[in-house]
Amino acid sequence: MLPSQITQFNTFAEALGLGIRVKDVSTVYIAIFALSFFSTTMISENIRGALLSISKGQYEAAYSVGLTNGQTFRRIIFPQLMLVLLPGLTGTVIGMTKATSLVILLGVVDILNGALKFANTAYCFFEAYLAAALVYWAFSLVIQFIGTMAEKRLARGRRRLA
Amino acid sequence: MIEITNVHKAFGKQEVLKGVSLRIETGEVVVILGASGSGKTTLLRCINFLEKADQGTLTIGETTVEFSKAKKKDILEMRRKTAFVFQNYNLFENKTALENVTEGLVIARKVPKADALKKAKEALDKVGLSNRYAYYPSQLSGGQQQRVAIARAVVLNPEVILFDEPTSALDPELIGETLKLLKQVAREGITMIVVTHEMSFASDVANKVIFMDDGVAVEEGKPSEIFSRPQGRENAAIPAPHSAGIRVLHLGLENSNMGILIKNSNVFDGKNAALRKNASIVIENHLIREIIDGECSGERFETVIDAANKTVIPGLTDAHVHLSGGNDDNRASMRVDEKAVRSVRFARDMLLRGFTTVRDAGGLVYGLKKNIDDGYLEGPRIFPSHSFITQTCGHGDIRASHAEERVTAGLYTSASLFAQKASLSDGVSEVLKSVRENLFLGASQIKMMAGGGISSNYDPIETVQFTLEEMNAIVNAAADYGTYVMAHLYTPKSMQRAAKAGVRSFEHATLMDEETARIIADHGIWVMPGPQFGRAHKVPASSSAMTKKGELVRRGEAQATELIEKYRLPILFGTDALGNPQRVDEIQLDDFRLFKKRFGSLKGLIAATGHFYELTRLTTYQNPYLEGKIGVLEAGAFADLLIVDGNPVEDLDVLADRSRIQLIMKDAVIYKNTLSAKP
Repeated sequence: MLPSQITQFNTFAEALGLGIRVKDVSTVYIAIFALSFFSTTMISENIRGALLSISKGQYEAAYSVGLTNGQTFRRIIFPQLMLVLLPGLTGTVIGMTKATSLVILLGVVDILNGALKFANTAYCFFEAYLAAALVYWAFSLVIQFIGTMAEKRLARGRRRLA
Repeated sequence: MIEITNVHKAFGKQEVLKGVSLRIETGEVVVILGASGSGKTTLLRCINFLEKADQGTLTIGETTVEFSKAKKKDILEMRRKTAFVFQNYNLFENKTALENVTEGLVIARKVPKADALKKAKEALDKVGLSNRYAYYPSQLSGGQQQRVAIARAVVLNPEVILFDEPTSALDPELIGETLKLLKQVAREGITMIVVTHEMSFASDVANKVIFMDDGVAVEEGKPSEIFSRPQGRENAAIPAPHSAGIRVLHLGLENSNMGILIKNSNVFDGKNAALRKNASIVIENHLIREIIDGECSGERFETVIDAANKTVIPGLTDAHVHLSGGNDDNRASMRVDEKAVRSVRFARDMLLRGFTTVRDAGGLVYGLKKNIDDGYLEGPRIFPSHSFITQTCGHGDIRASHAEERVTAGLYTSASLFAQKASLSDGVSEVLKSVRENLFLGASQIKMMAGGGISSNYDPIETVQFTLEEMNAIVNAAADYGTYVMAHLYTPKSMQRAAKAGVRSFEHATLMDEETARIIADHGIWVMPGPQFGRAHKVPASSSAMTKKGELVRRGEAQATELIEKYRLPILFGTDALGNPQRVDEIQLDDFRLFKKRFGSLKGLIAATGHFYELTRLTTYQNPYLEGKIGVLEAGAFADLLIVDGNPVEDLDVLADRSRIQLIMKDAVIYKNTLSAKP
């Protein structure tokens, strides 16, 4: 953060009578906030696309049998939405996992930077990168596995919708 | 009771409904007709609050709601009194057929789950889907999906079911089943409002028909009144009241042939022994649009034929003819052009005998077929094989003596103009060339000579013709073009080899034994068991060798009949008509007597009708008549039919008497009509 913004925040907090100062906020929270802020845009686009893929007829059919808006969403739209959403969502989450390495810019140590820290002292960069890659890979596999399982569960006996 | 008053609805500046008022009594079936854009679908959607009308009131039963003031609670209440069937079905994609039906009951109506399941199953059984409970919409055909949608609406037992063009997204052949179901629902006394273009449905089922035009209901009345003469509002844009035709123009359905109605008919559909009594057949655009039980008002039809309770059967088919087989006893002595000209008369006579479709088992039919299909000549529909594929010294090698040279170019090797009927080919590459030459001319199936025949000089009956490799090549080349091979053969050895190669239709097959019959049954191969030898329409035996071969075949016939019965082999009616036209005239219809004797009346008749329909399905995209069904009488079939005095299902001999075939129609054109003639 720029120094002027830091002072501004401090002035603002002081004016409100809050005890908090910039130095009190853990950089980890800032990193989490920044990453969430960034992925919100991606995920909301995913959801928007999935919503658009569901035809108006599905809503109308639900209304016509007497379902309320809430029931329609929960019972008809949401299950179909998830089926379309999941593959994209899984991808986005995997992408996010990899994006975590950017947090070094805030001074937060993540997987990659943790490994490099060690490498810098021990001069074994190849091993460090390899170890970090394996960890990322393992994370990706787990996320992908969860995604696939969820997809299968939702698709139970049903062909994928075109 | 449902009442709507003064409904207005605009989309932006476009006013779609300009003050529509309707009153529908409980149990009434109301059909709303009108051109596209007249507002009929919007009206329906307003009743279900899928669109919010700008003005007007809706009363269902005791409850009245003003559209503009309707709250969420009111809308939900009104929706729960109605059900909607959509043009595009709109089944819940994430639920099975059964869940689709229970959803509204369990969630909206709070019916206990067990009760809901029971009701839903009953509803699905009623629409004929008792074996599809667990299917998802994507696993069902359009017609099935629409039936689930209808079950979903009916099960709610609403005050009214709204149908928005329930058949317009369906294939023509599925429309019939859906309309039938709608009629069934209507008969149960459920109040229905149906938006449709199906005029026949309106005239059959509706208690009330409403015409909409430009956002107003211009006319309302009983179907019989509406279809005969418009009445009421003089200022509406309705042309002078004297003909149904003008009304139809008004509906935006111009240029549609309003068709033919055949009333008072007892229909044999080509499959079932039971006749549909007192039915009305609706014919539009060369096709049978629908067959209705009972009376149908004839006022909107161009032509009405009174079948006077005679039997209507599908046009007859003959699965084995040679239209240009030479029309003289001495076929070798005829020039190609002479044969072609004679075949014109031969084909016309065949149609006038009642055969509206034939399968040509080999010969020069390209020009004949094309001219018939184009409407230059009269004749049956033809499934052509063009030249038959035969080996040197095979049944198709019709050299009259040892002195004749085998001609390697021109006469025998090509299916083009100079080939009279045979493609003499030996070896895989030659048979491939011959098959493909025929396919080039549009052959709908390939004819192959797979064994000895009677009317040839140098191939004893016992001979097996073509090696397995050659047969495989022929069958595969045909299969690659979406069609099948029919084979001339008599002996078990030929049949077993042909079955192995994948031949789908056995011609004659007279000398079959038990083992072969079993193989035929297992492979589901069609058998054309005619003609009975001794029927003199074959070229008369001109040598002692032929006479001997004929005797041999004749002795096998009784056993073949027995085996066909025992193994229930699927048979086709065929006469092998060729040669002398006078003889064919005597015998082609008379062969029905023989089929009756051998297989019974019903089987004999189905062999010439419904079975031929099954056969045409083997031809897939190579079928020259894909637009309609042949050999059956049902929605989507060509208007090829006969009206017969007497019931051929009970006594096939009826057909052998041509004076009892009183009307012959092919492609909605009448070729013979002696219905009103005094006997």
